[in-house]
Amino acid sequence: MTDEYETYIEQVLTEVPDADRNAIREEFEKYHTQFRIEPEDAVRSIVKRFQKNDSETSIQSRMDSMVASKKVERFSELGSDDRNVTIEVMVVSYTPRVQMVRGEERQIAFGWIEDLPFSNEGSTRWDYKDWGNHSSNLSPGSIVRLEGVSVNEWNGKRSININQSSRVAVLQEGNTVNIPTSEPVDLATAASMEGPVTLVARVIAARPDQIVKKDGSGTIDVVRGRLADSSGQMSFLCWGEFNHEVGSLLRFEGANIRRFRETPEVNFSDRTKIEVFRDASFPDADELSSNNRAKIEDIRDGMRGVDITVQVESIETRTFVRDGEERSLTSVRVLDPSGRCKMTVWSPIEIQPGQVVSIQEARIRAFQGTPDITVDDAKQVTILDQSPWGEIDPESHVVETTLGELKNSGSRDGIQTEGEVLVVRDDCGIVLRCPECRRVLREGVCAEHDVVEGVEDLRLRFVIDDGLASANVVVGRAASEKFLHQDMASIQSRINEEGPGNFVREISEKLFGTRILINGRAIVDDRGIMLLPDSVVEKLDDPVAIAAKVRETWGVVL
Amino acid sequence: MISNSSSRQRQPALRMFAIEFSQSSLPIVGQGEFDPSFVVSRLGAMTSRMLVAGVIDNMERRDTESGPGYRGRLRDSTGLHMFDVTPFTPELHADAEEILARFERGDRFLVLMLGRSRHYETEDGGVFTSIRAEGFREIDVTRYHVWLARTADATMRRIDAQRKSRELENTEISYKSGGIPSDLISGLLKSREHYGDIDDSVYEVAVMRAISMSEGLAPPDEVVETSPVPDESVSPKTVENLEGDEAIDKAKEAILQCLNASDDPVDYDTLIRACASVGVVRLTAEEVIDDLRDVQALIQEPEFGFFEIL
Repeated sequence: MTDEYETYIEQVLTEVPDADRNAIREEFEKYHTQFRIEPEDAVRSIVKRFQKNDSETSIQSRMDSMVASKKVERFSELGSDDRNVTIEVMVVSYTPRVQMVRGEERQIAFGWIEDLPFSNEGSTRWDYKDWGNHSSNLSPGSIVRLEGVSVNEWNGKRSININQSSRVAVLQEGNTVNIPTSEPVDLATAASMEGPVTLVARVIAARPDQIVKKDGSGTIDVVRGRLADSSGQMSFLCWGEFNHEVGSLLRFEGANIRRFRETPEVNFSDRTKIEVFRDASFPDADELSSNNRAKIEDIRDGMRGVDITVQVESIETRTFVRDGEERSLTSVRVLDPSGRCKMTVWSPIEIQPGQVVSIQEARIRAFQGTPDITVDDAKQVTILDQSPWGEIDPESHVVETTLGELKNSGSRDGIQTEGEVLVVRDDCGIVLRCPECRRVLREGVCAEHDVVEGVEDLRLRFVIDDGLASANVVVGRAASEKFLHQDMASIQSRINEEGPGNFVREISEKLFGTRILINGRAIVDDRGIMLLPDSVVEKLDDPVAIAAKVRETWGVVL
Repeated sequence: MISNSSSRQRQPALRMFAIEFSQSSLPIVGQGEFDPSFVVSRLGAMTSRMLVAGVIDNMERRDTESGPGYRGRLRDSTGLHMFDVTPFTPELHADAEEILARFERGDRFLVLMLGRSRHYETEDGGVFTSIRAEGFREIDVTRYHVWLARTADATMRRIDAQRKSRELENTEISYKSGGIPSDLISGLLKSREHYGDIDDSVYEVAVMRAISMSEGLAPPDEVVETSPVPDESVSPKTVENLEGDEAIDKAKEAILQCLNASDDPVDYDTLIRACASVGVVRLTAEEVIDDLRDVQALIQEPEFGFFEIL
């Protein structure tokens, strides 16, 4: 397999001939994907790492064969790099999962184990991963002796790796009566978790579906639907048969919370114990489905079965031909009191701007980082006679929010926020973009389309901060020209005369510490907040007004 | 997982008064390659990056092993920040040189500074805090007052959370359900463990002074005074009250004279009385003291409520 890393791997191998080629590749991938460091910049650190590792691993492997196994009773006796450990544990849970390991699909599993299985003393619970497919010996509830397992430490948290070479000896078969059944949690709590969970919830939607395997080897029959309790709703995915009707109240033991994009989902497998639960005070299906309508600020990429009411701002319909059939696609800009977004309807639909519509069972998909409502069939859309919130004027509709609030929310459009400019990036000014994909060219080269004739564009980049969170701001041409009161041509000619340094320095001197007000779109992900403004204006603060507000907010008496 | 991803996010710049930062003695050094380090304040602020402001109190060149740099002091209405412009930030050196030149000429001006928190520990275990500058600029009085007001807000928010936390069990869960803002939970847990019970009144006084300055008023009295105590030698009533620039000049003269005459720092009330004796009312006198200390930087307040010539 040749790829972008190949030449760099060769470089490392010349320096450290004994290093493992795959391990080097993994290291480059790690630098590239996790640290965002290009291979050429990573070479030196990787060479260093393998030079160091070289001596260590060879000693380590020799020691491994010599070191007698370490036998312990408690997890607390283990060090972070202990290998060849023997310990007796009780298996609390076992969750199989298919994971891609070096391009191969491998069956692995994870779960919880507890030490001191025969003792009445308080035992400690650790995570484990089973890399050796020991499923037959690791059924929940059983007490086993693990031999030749190792300790893994990641982010300060230790866990046990059960390897292919490890042995698992069953000391006591799993006896479900003895399993301490975990307390059920509500769906709001479950939404913040990942992994095994016990739930009591009502089924409010269920329909059979098929998953097409990516390798083309066939399909899997599944059931998708939604669960609800008084704390919220969650989609579920059942791998196999699901013989319960909509409206049933069920208890799920050994269900799993997984994340699809940014959305948690309950997964059931044949290991999940599902039983009918009786609780007369549990809200019924109608109540649960009605009081859980989403708002635009709540929607997240990957959600399904979303019921939402929105006001139509503008409509654009285009037709296209797929499989010889003419189809229509309607792109609608919509808003509600909490924000605005786009809605895509994949079938012909008759709606007008200003109308308020209710949508059932929509999917949420992100386009360029902002979640949009996706409607497959116009039947899902009902035009309402009356708006639940009165008419919103699209011209003036913005939702004020702080950076601190945005940090903990999802990507949103139609917001207004503010903060002080603390960094003005050096790459403000004129850039060349690829005419095909609008990517910024690097030395005349597009990452996708190679050498192209670039198109000039103006952009500003800075960091704003309000003391609780910071955001990267990328201002496009129109908003930049308006903000700077200069057009691109005059900026271009200035930069041609004086070079780009003066331009950036001038903006930086003018803006550092200045509070600005931004209207536009926010993309929020694990790298933080990015703001794409429609408009940027300087905010002139009045210290007296702020001080008065502080006194009022905190009750400061002078 | 959550903490892992957020540690790669840019740390926000906390607005903080010098008194809160300088009284901090709990550093937390990040373990991983990309983990930020923090200084935890008594009010539970996890300070990694900060936005501070004040008048340049001192500035000097420093030659270090890594090259030339600068070290200075920035004074706000509550105390002093030490800061460094390191050899590793040559892009700041031109501006630092300008500040140095102006400072040496005797020019005094207000600066807004962005920086990272640093600390060093002495052999006997003391912890000193300082700031590594990432950017700075001169600001006018209005902007300084805006900074004071916003920093008062941020400080009050921390005082409020700290007070709430005292009633709660020192655990994450109990803080969360007790309404402590999520960004302050981990810092408050650490603060309480390290500092124990703290007296937050000093921070509240800082807030009150900052607010009254941003509102253009004189700072509030620390000691509630009944009607001005008549001095035996001088009776204020015999002097005609002055107004406007004349009063300001007179007050300045009286304050500097009073401070020059004493080897030890002089307390606030003595200065106010000195002004009263030449016919300047309390409000004006207080404004002049603030102006001399924070804007003109001719006097300093080495200890709260006591002043000396800078």
